[in-house]
Amino acid sequence: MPENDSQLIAKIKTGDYNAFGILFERYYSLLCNFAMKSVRDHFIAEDIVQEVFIKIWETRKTVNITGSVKSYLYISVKNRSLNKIQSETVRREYSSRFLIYQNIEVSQTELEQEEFRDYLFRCIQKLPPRCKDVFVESRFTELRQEQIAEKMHISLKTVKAQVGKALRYIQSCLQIYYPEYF
Amino acid sequence: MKNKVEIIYSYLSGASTEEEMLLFNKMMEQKEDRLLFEQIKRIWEEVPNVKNYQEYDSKRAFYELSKRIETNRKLKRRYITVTISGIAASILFVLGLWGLTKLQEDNLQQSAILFKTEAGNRSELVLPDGSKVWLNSQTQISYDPTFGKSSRNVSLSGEAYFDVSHSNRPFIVDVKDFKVKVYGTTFNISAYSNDNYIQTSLESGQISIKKEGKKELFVKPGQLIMYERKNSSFHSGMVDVEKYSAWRSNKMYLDNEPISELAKKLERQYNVVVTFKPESLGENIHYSGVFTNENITEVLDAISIASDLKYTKKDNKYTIEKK
Repeated sequence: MPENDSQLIAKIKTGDYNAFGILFERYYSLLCNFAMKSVRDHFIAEDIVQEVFIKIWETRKTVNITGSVKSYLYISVKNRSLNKIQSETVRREYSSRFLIYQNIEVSQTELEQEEFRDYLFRCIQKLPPRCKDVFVESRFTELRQEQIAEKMHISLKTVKAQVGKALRYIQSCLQIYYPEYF
Repeated sequence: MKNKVEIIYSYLSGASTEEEMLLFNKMMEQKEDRLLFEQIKRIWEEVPNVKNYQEYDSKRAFYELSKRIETNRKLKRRYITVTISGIAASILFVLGLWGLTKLQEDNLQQSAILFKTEAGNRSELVLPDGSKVWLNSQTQISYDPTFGKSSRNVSLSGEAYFDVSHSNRPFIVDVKDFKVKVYGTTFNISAYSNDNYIQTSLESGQISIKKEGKKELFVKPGQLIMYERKNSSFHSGMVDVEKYSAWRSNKMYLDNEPISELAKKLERQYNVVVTFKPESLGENIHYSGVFTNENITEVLDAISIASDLKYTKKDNKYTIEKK
């Protein structure tokens, strides 16, 4: 049984760097994708997430996490992302108009949505290559079925079959990895 | 029998044929198929939101982060901080301070020494090896207790003029972006963390600049090296180097500089805030001239007359705009 987040935090508080590494790897990619929504730069997103973890490690003796570790992480990342945008704006515009963010919250619904999207992304990654290509065309672009068929030199029937296959695959993949959802 | 998921796909993408539409409606009468439809629909609707998702390499990132933690740990040594205030330049003999702190040998072992000047203050100090340093306002300089033993390393943020004593132990100034290696000499470095450029100018002797991953750059007397932070590039030119260290004698030289640069200097020297309305004004107007011991209103008056500007003052805030 892998340890849950609170168990890991308890270990981190005693100075267990290994536990710190496990928690980090569990959430890193998720949090980077989450940070990207506000900062829109991979380097900055990664930097923000790393800073959040560095702070946890450096204040491990006194850090007090009320509520779930997961929401603590998301809130910290959101906070830092918004601060980053704010300071960038200030630097660019020197003074005058900038927003002050207060009471940053990440609702339960938002957390669940983020989690769902993360599993969804992972399931898409697992699609067989050909099937994935057709699926990506069908949903990440504005192309119609006939246009996809033409672009990829396949029949309309194949487009339908491949996208159908992809959707069926993602649906069962989510059922296995994220049963809470359905 | 047509594949159910395909029928749902056609429906969701608005491309159903008549036959598919008929089959779809029939499916919706079945509870089980309706559930399938809801599930597929949620996937279909959420997929565009993960368009820009990517897998971040957490192993590589954890390695990076571990290095950062290690660096932070090293930086966190305690500093013995000496804040210099008082208007005129005052000489501090560090050797004296050395004797004083000897009492706390244990503390000293791990503590670096840090001197800093606040806005509006300047100071002159003598390092343990006899080298002299003039600190411009809002500047800090620090060094390890081991300074002088085998090497002479100082870290600088802000602006300082150095008169380094001759010795076979190298004297190195670390300005974070790069290091300046000194071979007994007088030179000026301006490395304020909020400036876009770091300026190094050499009066006499020899220094070199070493940035990690780049070739050592030797500087000749009279030369000014500009380091541009945004693209990590060095530019050089021959200048009247005395202008660059003129602040030591309360002189301020401006050589066709945008007035936004002047504003930064004024902010440091007089501990005020200077803004332009509109902000672009600071970049568009250039000014050349010398100021000696003038107070801030005299400086602003002079610029206003020359460039047809006016300024308003509120507390310690000055706003400059077109007349």
